[in-house]
Amino acid sequence: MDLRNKSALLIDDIPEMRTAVRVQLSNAGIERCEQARNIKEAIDKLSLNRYDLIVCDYNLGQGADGQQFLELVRRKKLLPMSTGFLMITGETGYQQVSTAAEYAPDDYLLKPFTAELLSARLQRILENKEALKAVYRHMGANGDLNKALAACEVLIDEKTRYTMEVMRIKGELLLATGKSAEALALYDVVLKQRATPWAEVGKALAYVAQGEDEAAQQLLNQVLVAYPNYLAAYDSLANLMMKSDPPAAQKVVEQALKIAPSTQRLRELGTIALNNKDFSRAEDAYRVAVERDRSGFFKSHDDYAALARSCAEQGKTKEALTAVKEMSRHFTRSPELAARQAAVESQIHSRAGDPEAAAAALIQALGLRRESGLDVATTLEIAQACFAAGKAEEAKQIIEAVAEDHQENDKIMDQIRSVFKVAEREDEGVQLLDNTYKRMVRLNNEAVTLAKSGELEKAIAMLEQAADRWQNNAQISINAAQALMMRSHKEGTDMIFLTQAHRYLMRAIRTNAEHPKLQGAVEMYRRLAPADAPLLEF
Amino acid sequence: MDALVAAAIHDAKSTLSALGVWLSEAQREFAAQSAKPSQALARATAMADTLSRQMVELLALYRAGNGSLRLAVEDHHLRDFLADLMGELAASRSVTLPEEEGGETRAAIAIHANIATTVTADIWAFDAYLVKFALLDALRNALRHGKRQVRFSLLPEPDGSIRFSIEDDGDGYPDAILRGEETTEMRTSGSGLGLSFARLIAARHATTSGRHGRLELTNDGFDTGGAHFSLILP
Repeated sequence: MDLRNKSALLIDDIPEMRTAVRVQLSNAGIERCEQARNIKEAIDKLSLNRYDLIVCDYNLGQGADGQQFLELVRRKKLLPMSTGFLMITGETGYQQVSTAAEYAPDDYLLKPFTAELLSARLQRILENKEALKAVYRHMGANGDLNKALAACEVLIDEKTRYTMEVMRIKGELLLATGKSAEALALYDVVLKQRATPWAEVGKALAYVAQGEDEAAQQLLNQVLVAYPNYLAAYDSLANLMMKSDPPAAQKVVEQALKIAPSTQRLRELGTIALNNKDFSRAEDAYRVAVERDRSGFFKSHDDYAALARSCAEQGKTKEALTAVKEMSRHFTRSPELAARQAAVESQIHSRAGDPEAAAAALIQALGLRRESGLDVATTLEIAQACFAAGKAEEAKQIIEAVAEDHQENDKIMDQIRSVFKVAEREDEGVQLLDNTYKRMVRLNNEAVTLAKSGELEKAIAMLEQAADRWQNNAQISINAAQALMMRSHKEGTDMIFLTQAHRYLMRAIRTNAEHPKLQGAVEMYRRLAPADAPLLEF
Repeated sequence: MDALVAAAIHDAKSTLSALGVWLSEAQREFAAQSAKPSQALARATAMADTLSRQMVELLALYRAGNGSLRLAVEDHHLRDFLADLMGELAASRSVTLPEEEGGETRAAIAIHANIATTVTADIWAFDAYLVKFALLDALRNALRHGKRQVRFSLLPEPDGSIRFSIEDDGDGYPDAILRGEETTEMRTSGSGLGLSFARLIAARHATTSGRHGRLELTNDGFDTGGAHFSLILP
């Protein structure tokens, strides 16, 4: 394969190393090479350009590492699967990269390496990407996993040297699309030929998907004996144990942390420890996380809030308040920061038995919420502070608005459950989420019934009102768009309706590109829209 | 103290890494100005390589000693792996150094490398980095002790494992080595820790059904009593 027309992005925080690797890349034939000094620069470049290849040093300074970067850009879908990722590491980083869990680089290269070795590896990665192109095409931000599965079938039938890679991807796709029985069969076929850790973990995940938690747990424990450094096995086991035995799950994360002491895993430990009310362990974990990410790309209000809570719960009021104050030093001023600080501070005072101070801080936080739109984490922090200050009704009102708006976001639903759990009102949380869900379903159903019975105008009015209120609810946006398109279709093409439908569809794509109803609605738009209607990129 | 040892080995490795990169660059610059490659630079590069290798073995053994050696078991294409291995071996053999400098003078020895047709798997899960080290070490030893030829093969095992086999037509291992002892005799014949390293790496490979890797040392190379090194991976 000719590397001369390939483009690369090289990420390393040390200028000398950048120069050295740049020279080696050039010797391997890659002249089109951009450079980034840190994660922020790399992300800026990735959002603007497409590269065939990322070459990233494991150690990026400021508490950040290449593995964190890889996880971030893969999760945010900033890095298409078709772009190769080569990690360069020293001995220490190698142990962490090579056992990386969910997001592994395509290959890694240990320092020192020759230009010939680098060139050979690059060739291999790019040939692999080329061979699996048909699969990767459907695995991007707006991909269709079933099409990716079909592409896997084709490649497996062709019996190339990439069959095993395709099988591995196919297993993941089967699990992601809920076909756990097929996934199980696939992993058994692989394991019958030879032992390999990914198929063992895949098999365990298939067991979990089939509700066979005990079999999964037993297998994962065997995997950890045979492959004690395979992080994916720890992560899967910890996830599984969270349901049945949270303190045991915490131990599993502790073990994984010994193997790969990444900041991300420290946060995970902190979260579990908080959940287990092991506040001193949580404090330790967050203290290290905060320290490491002081100036790094991944620093977050959440860490400081969690640190403050860990301290407050142990009665360390002074340390807790210090953590809140520290936030002002390490983050830029914003309404979100001020509101978060006030909400956390209020909870600390509530915990310390100072209701007046708690109320004062809470009033400040609520005031900021009225003045400016706050993100979900900050809003839920305010709700938590309301609970702590004995204002349960206000807390629930705030949470209800979040739940309505983010109905489809499981992660946010989990965060809401966790707020109720901390407030020791888990049952009320279940009730609230259930009611909200039913209310939104009813609203959508009513509108659909109206539309079907020909009362399009009423349906549109209802859905547009709902869509403007809950801007993150893709289902409502899609329904509103569909009603508008139906009306335009029925009453003759109307650009006003179509433009409005376009706006709602764009919003749905932005908030939840994977919504199952989205594809159909987009196709309907393309069918109906005349050439001069706004184009829909999806 | 322990932490200091690890850190020191690590520092030395990092320095060697940078040195290696600049030495190759220096060779290229030299080649651009001169018709003949620089023998001195080639030697320096080869030595930096040897030092790096020794550091890796040292670090692994040190880590095994304090329980922090971690294997990275992942799938690898066996053909690619063997190609990498032979490539690295050829690169280090192409530089001929006087024996007292740790070099390989008998570059004329023929190596026959092959994968048995009975090996059905294209891909195997193992720590390619550490296994490659162990095998390169064994190959270098075979080249040092072999008279005319060295055979390197990949064979299937009855229990479903695979065997990397390296034979030479030399005088075979001393008895002490066959008995598994670490003797001074062994140390005089090169990196005495190489075999301990290989034994360690093999044993650390395991499967969920409880099979482990192992090392086998016999004196039946080429059926003439030559050294025969086998590293078996489950």
